[in-house]
Amino acid sequence: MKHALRNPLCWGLTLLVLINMYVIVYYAPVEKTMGLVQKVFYFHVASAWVGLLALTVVFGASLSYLWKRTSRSNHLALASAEIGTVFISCTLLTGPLWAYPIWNTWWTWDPRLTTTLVLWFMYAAYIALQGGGASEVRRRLAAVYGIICFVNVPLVFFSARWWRSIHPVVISSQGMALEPPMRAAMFFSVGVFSLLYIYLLQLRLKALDLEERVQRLKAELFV
Amino acid sequence: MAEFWRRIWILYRKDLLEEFRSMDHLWSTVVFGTMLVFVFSFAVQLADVSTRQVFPAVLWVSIFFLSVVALQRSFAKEKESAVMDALLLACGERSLLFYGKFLFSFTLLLLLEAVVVPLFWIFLDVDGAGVNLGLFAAAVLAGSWGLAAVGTLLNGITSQLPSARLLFPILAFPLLIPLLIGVVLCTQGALAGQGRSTMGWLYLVFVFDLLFTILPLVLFDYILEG
Amino acid sequence: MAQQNALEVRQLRKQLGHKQILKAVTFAAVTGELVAITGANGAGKTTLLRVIAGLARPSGGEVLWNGSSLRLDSRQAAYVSHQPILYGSLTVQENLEFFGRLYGTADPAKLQELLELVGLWLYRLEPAAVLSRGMQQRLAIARALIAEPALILYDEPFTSLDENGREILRQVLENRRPRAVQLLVTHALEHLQGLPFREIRLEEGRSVPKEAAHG
Repeated sequence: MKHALRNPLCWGLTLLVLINMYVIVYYAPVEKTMGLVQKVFYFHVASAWVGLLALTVVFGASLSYLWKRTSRSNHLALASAEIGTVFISCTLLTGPLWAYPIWNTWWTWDPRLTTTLVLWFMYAAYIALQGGGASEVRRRLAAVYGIICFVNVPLVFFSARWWRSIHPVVISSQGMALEPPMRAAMFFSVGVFSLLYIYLLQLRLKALDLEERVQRLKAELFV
Repeated sequence: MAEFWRRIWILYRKDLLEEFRSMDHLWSTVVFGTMLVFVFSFAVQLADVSTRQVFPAVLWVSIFFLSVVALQRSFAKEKESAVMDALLLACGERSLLFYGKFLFSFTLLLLLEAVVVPLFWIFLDVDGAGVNLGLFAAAVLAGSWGLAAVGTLLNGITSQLPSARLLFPILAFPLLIPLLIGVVLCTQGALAGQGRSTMGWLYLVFVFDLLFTILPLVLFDYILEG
Repeated sequence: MAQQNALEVRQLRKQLGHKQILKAVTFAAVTGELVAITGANGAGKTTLLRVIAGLARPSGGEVLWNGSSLRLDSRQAAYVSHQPILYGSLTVQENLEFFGRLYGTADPAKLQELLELVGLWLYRLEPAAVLSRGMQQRLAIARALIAEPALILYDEPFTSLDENGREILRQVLENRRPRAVQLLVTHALEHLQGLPFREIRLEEGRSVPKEAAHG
């Protein structure tokens, strides 16, 4: 905690998050048809984008791991997957929060939401496969799986979209009128959430690195 | 190149030989399949729902579960007796193992479906009028292809981990979603007798199959590295 | 005249998890040599063989075969492990045929010769699972020899063999000498009695050549 308080990035981020709250609540105009509840949308979309960003990082780190086999790459992938899961969970939780008051249904098979759900399962499976991330075998296999998942995402998205196009769902963000201030608020939210992701990633990476060092020292001592 | 195919054929034949030598695993999987048919048909009847409407969904969910059970054995023999080392040395090229096992899994799935699909047809009382059989058969074939490919790929992964029984379905599920969407909608279209409009879904399944048939060429080396 | 091959291992490192199993292994061997690799349990002997065979990736250093570090062509290297590595439900003959075909050499006369060499011809139609450990090991040896490998790696091969089997293995080792580089991991050097070999000891993951002209 003390370390966090001294870290300027932590202070800066706290400030940004507070500004973001202000932007969402006060700056962004209240949507015409949906009312105040619509503001959940800013959290919803920002989390979703970060969730996808995290998977991209997993993909990149997995490729890097298969090529260079550094602990760093593996830790980056694992940390990104863990944090990605958190953001995706936010997306999945805010979805129904937004949908129920407005459209009176908890879940909509909106293609983006469906893809997000699949992403959640991919992350969960990836983390299960890593199993802590110590074994070289598991790291390698997880890296392969991470790559497979990323390549699969476009397929998931498009198949869900084509499916929905033949059973058009009235429920979608297209139903919203996005005025410029709202667009600005959305981009700002996405930006802040991304920075939050990077910060959390750093924290988690440090923890994973330390853990590995401890394990290595232990292994050398107890030989 | 011919050498590649020749070796795949040898691997495939060996797997078939082994499997048919002791039929008990195959037999219990068939029984499991018929059990799935029975349970699903029964539940659907209880719910008093139009069976023809649920047929695509019920059929493919069953096939998915069946494949999880049937395909778990892909690398089982190699795992049991540590033969993998000898096999890897004899093959050299890791992807050979993938294609050999894939063919075997594909054959196995088709055999199981030859039993399960007609049973579902009967139990769910699907009347054959207006059904596009060609399209239906294509959907089953292409769907099984994708299942066998993903199954073999993931079994390559889980075979490296000793205690990973539950891991296989967990890994498979997110990847199989596009396939599920494609085959269910294609089957639905086939049942309704539609041809042209349903082809799109078949193409989706083809793309999926292609991806998971080509990807192992590169990735399997990393999976079976050791 | 058999081709002269040279195996060279340079500063090989292998890390498994957090442990450095191999720290710096360096040695060389050419066709006609039998190199015995000894060391305490856990010294990394099996790991070393697996890395050389290409079954495991080194964390550092290199394995050179005739000067180039390409992964050994599958037909060049054979591996005899101390575990039974066979297909239990296939017969002795089918096991051998399967691997033979993979290597591209399934001449029945040749297979018969190999089976007779290891004393398993009479058991050729038995499923491999019913054989005793010693006989399975002999089958594994036959399997390793199918493709006339230029590099043969033995991991504690004498472990499950009876006196008869050990004599067979000694004959194989001597028989293959002019055509292959042979690396043999063992605890018991006395089994190599009568055969000229060179010893390399693995201590704490490092190779220590032992001055020896045993045999």
